[in-house]
Amino acid sequence: MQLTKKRKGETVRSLLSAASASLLLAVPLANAEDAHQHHAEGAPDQPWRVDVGTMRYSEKDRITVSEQNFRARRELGEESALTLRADYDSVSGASPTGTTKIQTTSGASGTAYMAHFQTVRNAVGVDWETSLSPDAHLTLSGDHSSSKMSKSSGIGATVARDFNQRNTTLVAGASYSVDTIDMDIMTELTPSDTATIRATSEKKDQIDLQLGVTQVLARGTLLQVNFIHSHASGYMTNPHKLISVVNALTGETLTNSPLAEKRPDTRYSNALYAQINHALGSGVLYSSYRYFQDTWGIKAHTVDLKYRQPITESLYVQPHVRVYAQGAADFYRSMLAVGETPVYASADHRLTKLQTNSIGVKLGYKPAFGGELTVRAEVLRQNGEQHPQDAIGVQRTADLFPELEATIFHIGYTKPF
Amino acid sequence: MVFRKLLACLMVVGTLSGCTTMQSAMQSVQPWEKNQLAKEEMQLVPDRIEEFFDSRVYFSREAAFGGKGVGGGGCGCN
Repeated sequence: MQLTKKRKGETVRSLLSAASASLLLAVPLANAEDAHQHHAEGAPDQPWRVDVGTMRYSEKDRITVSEQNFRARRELGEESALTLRADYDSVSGASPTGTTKIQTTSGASGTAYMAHFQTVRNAVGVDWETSLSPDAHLTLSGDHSSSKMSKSSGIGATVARDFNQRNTTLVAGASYSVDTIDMDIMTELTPSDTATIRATSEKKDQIDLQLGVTQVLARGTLLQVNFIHSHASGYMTNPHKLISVVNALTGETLTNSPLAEKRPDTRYSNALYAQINHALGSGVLYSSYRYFQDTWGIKAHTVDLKYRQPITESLYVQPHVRVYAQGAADFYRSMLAVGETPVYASADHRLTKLQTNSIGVKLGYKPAFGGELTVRAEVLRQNGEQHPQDAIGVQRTADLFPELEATIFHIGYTKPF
Repeated sequence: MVFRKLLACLMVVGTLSGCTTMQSAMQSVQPWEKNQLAKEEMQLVPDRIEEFFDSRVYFSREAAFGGKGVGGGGCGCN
């Protein structure tokens, strides 16, 4: 009897201490990183958190990207935190130019179906998070990136406010970025025998507005819904992309083909994103869906599923499946017939009807010296219309959207201290 | 096609699984019941580097973009 009472007493004490610990873990959910740092890692004695990662993205017979990313976050007292970010990537290999695969004339340079290129890009960023009140948080961010021919700078602000015992968080955010391209650009949609090349600096501005809500649905279930509206204006043509002009009957390319593509100079887009994190036994299921549409006529659906399953206390496995499907932009054309004079036209594969399927697996390991090491491998396949309806004559026999196959290999390490 | 159907089924299972727990959402989760939500793996973005790399890859290969938040800068590319 005494033993039973003692055990009951221990159980009650144990429950009370667990409850006390959990009270300290009342999570402000708007900012995942903030929540992670303050609560998951018990931050006061570990004000730093460093994340490093390297990725290799390789397309079969096309480009290879090598990318390194670094983040360091420092708690500044109990009310604020500063994050510094840096990224370096190098890209090399062959990329489709947009021209038809069957070249029936001996054109000048630039008419090849694929073009080789090489570029490097550096990017830096900073985030400053601070509490506006016990239930409200502000995050300010700044970014800059540059490569040989382009630059981008941006600023952003996000406010998150907790309600309902921190079970509900409303988020409002806005960001502004300016991209510039400095290079020689050929007159758009103009035959090569009359087009001129201008050395110029073209600019694009983009404003993004965000409204979001995060809701605790249950002890192990979290829902996030975001609506993002974007408005881009300025130069959005890809100066590296071309479009073939062919004989309207035979499909043979013309001697003054191809032309430089041209896209509209405004683009309004909306993205509705929903994510559910759900604890399933000892694992976690992450599921998300995104609907995207814009004024270029593109509509896209994205479904993403991950399941994290612990294998031991220090090891977990996380399979991943992603499916993406998009419709074509209104001005997408696989080629133009001679005599056509569209206002806008692009043969960039990324603007046509396509589907991307990705499957991968990640392993996470917590070594004895601390932190977490992750290794991830994924395979990605992208398919589109191999024989689109607007193909003409001999071009109908060609595969105008060869399957894109790529692998992603990524190693990361995270350590709070 | 089979792949898409399989994925749709998985989404339905995931959604239903979430819905079964929504009944208890009628009552607010108390602060002392949030030990599970406070875990690293339950955060909205458990792995920032993975998130960053994926957004870079898909931004450069697909027309749709964004949805998870604002800011982060562009790439200067079209």
